[in-house]
Amino acid sequence: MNGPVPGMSEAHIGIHTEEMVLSMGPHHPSTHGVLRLEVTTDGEVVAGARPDIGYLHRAIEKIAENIDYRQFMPYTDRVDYLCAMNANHAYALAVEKLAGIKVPLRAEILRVLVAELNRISTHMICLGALAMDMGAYTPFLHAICHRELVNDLFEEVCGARLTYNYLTIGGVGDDVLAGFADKCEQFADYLTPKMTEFNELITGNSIFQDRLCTVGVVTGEQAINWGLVGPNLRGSGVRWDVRKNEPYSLYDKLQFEVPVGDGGDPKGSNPAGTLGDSYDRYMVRIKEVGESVRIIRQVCAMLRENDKLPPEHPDRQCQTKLPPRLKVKRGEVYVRSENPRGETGYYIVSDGTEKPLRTKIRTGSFTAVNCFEEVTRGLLIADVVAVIGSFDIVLPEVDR
Amino acid sequence: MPTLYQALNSWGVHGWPADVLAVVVPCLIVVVVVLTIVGFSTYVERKVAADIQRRIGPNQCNVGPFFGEFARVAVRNGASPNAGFSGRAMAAVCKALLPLLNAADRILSRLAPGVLIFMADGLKLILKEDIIPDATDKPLFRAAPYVVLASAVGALAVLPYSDAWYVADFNIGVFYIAAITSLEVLGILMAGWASNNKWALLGGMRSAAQIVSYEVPVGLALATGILICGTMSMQGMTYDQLGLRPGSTWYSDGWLWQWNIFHPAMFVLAPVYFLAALAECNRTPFDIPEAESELVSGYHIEYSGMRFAIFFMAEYTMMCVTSAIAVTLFLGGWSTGIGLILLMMWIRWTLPRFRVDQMMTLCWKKLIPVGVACFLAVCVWLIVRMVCANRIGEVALERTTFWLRACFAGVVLGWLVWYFRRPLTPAEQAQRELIARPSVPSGAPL
Repeated sequence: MNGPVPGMSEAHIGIHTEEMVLSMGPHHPSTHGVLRLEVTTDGEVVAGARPDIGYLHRAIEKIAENIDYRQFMPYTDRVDYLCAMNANHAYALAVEKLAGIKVPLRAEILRVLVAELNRISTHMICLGALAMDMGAYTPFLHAICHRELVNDLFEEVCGARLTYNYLTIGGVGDDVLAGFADKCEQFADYLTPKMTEFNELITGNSIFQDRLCTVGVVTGEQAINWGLVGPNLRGSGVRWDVRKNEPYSLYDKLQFEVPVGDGGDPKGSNPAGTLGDSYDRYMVRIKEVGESVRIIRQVCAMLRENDKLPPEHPDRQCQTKLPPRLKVKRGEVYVRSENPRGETGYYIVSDGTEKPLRTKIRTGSFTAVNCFEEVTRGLLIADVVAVIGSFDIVLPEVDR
Repeated sequence: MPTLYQALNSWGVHGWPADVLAVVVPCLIVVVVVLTIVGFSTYVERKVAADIQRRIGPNQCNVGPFFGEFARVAVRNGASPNAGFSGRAMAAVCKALLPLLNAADRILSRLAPGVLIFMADGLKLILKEDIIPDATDKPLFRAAPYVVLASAVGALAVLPYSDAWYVADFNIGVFYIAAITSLEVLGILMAGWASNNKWALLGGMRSAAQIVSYEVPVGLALATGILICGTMSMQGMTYDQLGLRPGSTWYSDGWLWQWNIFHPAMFVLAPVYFLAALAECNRTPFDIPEAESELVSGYHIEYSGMRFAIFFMAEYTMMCVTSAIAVTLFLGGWSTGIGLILLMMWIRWTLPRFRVDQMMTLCWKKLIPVGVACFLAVCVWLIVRMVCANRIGEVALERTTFWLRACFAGVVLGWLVWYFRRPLTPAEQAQRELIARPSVPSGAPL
């Protein structure tokens, strides 16, 4: 299928053939937003897929230079609207490090709790959408059903279901209602059997595995060179997770594994594939959902312990007392945190005023889009869709 | 049972009016009835999908809201002082119909809520603008949906609906079906080419490759059925499985094991035929030509309004046709009403889609060799049977094959029961409960 058939040159057939340029997107159902791929095809075989980005560019980094630090928090929701809690978290960490702000324990607990819930909800979208890209409609709706429950929890926390703006610099916006830990644990209890059902429905399906195994292989070395992060990097077998390797917040106190791709390992979950193929990236996300469930259970226990403290105890507070006009001392900082789509870094330069001199956001989807041209060369058109889905790109994160 | 032509003659209609009526009336009945069933099956599809996807599905478009609204408006208009004669007549008719509509609404909204959604869909699609892009090849673009629909509807002519109800009983019925259903690819190619759209072109090409390839296993299954039944007529095949042939005995008289599927070769060919039929209908997992997530919607991407709906009608008609053929070929014909369509829907809302090369591999490397093997085995069996018949006599042979078939049917049914009740292997269990166990530590640290 790949490459020209031996002995069938143009002279033999007597027909002049040329490559066709196919404009995939920006309004294509499987480009996960407004990505445009300029696909050069030879029949069904892709000679190259050049990503054309910028359809969702809103100059968020420039906006950051014109508003003060607190005002920028809602904009971080829009950087990656599928995991706005994690995006909030990344930005809050950066500003707090630059300004030297200490966050109370309860706020840290709530931050980790919502971050891991949000990780589950965005992985649900990714897993379901990948299944839908492969032609199976039902898993997507099942996954969305599970995600709705996370949205319900978030609605209780902050009133919003998509762009939360919950985290603040120095803490979280508001305390949770009593019994929130129970609700989170109920969700964890609900999700475990439902993920078994999801695996029965699609993960173990042999058509699905055939579609993803050995497709879009990225070796560990390539993944590092291309700057892939998060599940895309771990899918290639590189065990790198900022939560584990450079723990922030409470992650050094929590027990969890860092799942990596195990393609080709006869005892692994992907024995038929190659290390770093699309199925490995899919499996890493499936396993990460399980790890997030583990973390949520531990954090819920910590939240219950924290509930026992007297209300005026410093560890019981949700927010550090900060001056109304937050001025940050002159300097620069780069802080990274582990988002569902990989490492998100905020580089902030402060000139000592209320507004940052420069804010640069480093996102996982942007680097993932970069390697499409290399990864999709020689694949079929249907595989391009698998590759886009398995890298789990979110376009606002690419364009910002 | 007299044919319609004979009946017309006996009612005093002779000559060319009888000719025309005898041709047109059965065709109209079949087309109208089958297309209504097709419309209804889109409703069933939505309900099946909704059930699988934990949704409710259509439940608002009942008889009351749908027809009742027209009736109420007509009554209201008829009551106004400027209403003419026709308006008043319409109002009177509707007023008389309203209790009937209400009764139908009460029953149907319980049994099948939202059942008229297909009529609302049809109405919407007819009223929508039929957009024909500028750069298309207009005659081909206009004609393509009709070619696709005609090939599917054409096959309805020879389907045996019962021993008395059929349009035509050709002695080459099976051959006719194979020929006319393969015309579908022509229409799809026309649509793909005439749309002047790259996605449509890719979809058309994929479809051509797919349907032409899957004609082969379908043909092999049909040919084997012909060998076993000894006839190409669809009615003849049904009669054969009912044991209604000269010299039939009590044990060969319409019992389950007389179905062709309990012939070992046909038992193997039944899944082959079913898979190939799915591919011919462009149904999941073979919806590669449409492939919403890859080719947006393939060959009908540029179509809108009624022309778009006609492609869908053709798809559902093809589902009916292929299911009817499968039932005739394997499951005893009209003596059973087994709905394979439901199975097709179930598959569609469960499975992902093949890739184009995997689809070809499945056809040429798996289905066709199996089909050829079964065909040859049946050829050999027929020779053996002929020799045996000469040695031990036809009656003794019938008895022997009866016992063989009954044993085979028992083994098959027993195996099916065992297969669906067997405990899961540890590997299957582990795959399903992946999330429950801690992840396997492997892979190189950075």
